[in-house]
Amino acid sequence: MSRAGRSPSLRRRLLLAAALPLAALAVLGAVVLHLAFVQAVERAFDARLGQSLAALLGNIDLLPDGSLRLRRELPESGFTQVRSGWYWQVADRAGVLRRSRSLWDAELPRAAQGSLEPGPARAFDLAGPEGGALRAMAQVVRWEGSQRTLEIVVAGPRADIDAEIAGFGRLLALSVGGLVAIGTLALALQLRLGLAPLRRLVEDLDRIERGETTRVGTPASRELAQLADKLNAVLEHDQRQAERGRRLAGDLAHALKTPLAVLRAEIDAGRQPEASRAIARLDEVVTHHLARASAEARRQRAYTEVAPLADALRRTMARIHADRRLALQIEIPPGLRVACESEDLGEVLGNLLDNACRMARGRVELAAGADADGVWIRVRDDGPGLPDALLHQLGERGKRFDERSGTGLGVAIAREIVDSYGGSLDFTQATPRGLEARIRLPAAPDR
Amino acid sequence: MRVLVVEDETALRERIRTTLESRGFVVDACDDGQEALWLGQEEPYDAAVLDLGLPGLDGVSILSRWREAGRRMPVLVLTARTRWADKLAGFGAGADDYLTKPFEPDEMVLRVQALIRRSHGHASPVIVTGPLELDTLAQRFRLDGATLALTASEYRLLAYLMHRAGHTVSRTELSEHLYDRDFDLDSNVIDVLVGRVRRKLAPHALLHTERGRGFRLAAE
Repeated sequence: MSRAGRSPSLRRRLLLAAALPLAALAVLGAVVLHLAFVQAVERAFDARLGQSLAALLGNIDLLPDGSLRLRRELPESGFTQVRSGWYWQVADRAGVLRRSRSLWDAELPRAAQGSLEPGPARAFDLAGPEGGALRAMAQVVRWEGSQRTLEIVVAGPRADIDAEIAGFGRLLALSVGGLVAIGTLALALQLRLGLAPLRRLVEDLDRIERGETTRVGTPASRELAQLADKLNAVLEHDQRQAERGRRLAGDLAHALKTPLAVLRAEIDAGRQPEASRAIARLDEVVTHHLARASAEARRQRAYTEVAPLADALRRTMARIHADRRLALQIEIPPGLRVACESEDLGEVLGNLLDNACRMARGRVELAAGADADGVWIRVRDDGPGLPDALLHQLGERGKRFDERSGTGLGVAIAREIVDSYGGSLDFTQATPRGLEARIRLPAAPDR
Repeated sequence: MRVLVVEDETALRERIRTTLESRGFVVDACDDGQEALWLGQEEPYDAAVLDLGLPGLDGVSILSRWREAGRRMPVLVLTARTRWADKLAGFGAGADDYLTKPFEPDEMVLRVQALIRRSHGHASPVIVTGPLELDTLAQRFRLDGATLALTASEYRLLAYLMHRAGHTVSRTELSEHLYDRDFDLDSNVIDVLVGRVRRKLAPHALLHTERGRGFRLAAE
């Protein structure tokens, strides 16, 4: 899980992969739209200026004395209001001949100094008399009949254009932003719905890891159903493999131990103690290695409820040690689970309880519980116990305290199993007397 | 006491048989799961020694089917599997005790004796009826504190009656528990044997004949 936690999420990557081009596309569209709009607005304004220019041209008479006469004021009222931003002026090479009332005593800067070459009207930006930017249209015309060339300029406030563009820009930003936001949300929703079966698959795998199930459920979508089928096939194969390993260990035990039993039965232990000991040693080696083999064939993770197993062990111990008339007391909270496979926990507790029943005078206790460090289990008898010096050696390989029954081997196997789960097994002197085995094992996660 | 031995390894089976027979048991031995299942359901054994690792029908299945059929005789399970999970499965199916291979034949005999004794409700290894005592471990009778000299067949008869002390035991039951399957029920072997044992128990009248029903061992 920790590796998965560090890797980028598929959902985030898919979302980024879709949302980034969407945003780029939206921005590009907005820029193009904006440019087109600016052009359109300027062109419309220029057209208006052009109309005014044409009207001005049509209303001007050039008098013989060289002065100009305006037959009629231009219809735009702005040309008569002082400093309205709407201006016109007519000039020749020598200077301004006539200008709109709105200019009052100011002049528009001359568009072209010196040579006045007649040509088509052209639009440009210029600074107005008040400093405000103006959009202007100028045309140089040669008056028919005379040789005079006049420069006619019509200007309007550029602020009108800019205000319109700014308004459009705001609208554009708002709608593009909204588009991107809604698009991203829709994408996220789609991904969430699309990836939901995957998430369920992961949850199923989690439950398998916790040992609550052995298969993943079949998702509704066909592609993932195929994946789930394949996953289940792999899981089944895995379980079969582990099962086969165990069975093999069991079959091997049978194949090795039955001939050993024949040998043991054929040899007179009293007269051939060497042979008898050799058989015992062989038996021990076989038992030890088979215990390891079947422990290694263990499934990855499993959880075992302690109380039912302890109950089965209690009934079994009562039969095995029927003549000893022992009181076997169990104190285990119901529902207590430990992160250990049932067979392995059975092996650990079986060996320790069997020893305890052998050594006890009349009472054996099995108790368990959970605390912050995991699960603790305690097996205690009221027998003779062991001297302190021997306590810590108990369970080391080759250390035997009860030659007849193989106590040492059972404890060694128990210790190996507990170690393999990252737990611990310690022995202490019980009070007032007896031996106490203390096991620590990891707790199972809460269901 | 009649014991069924189920073990597929010939050498081990024969060793178990001879060891048990040398201690006065009557033994039926078989190596096949199906036959063992049938024998255990049909014949009145006092105990069974059952190997769990049989080919074909395995020991645990045989045992649970005996128990399902209502057979209560004590069963000593022999197993090569040393894991407690396997032992728990055996006990779960109704085993009374287990021995892990390899084992001492003497240990096996002691276990079988203890199982039979307990199955008749005797907690102590020494069974007492009036002046008569049976030490099941030493396999020896004492009458008024003195060892009672008995032949093998006399011992078998008296030991069975001792385990069933206070109950009337029919000729059929005796023949079933003291002899193997080929015993001829019409012969008067049992009556002759009972007469001989009764004379050895004199002057105490412990062995009673219940006319038409059988024999009963009880204190006067």
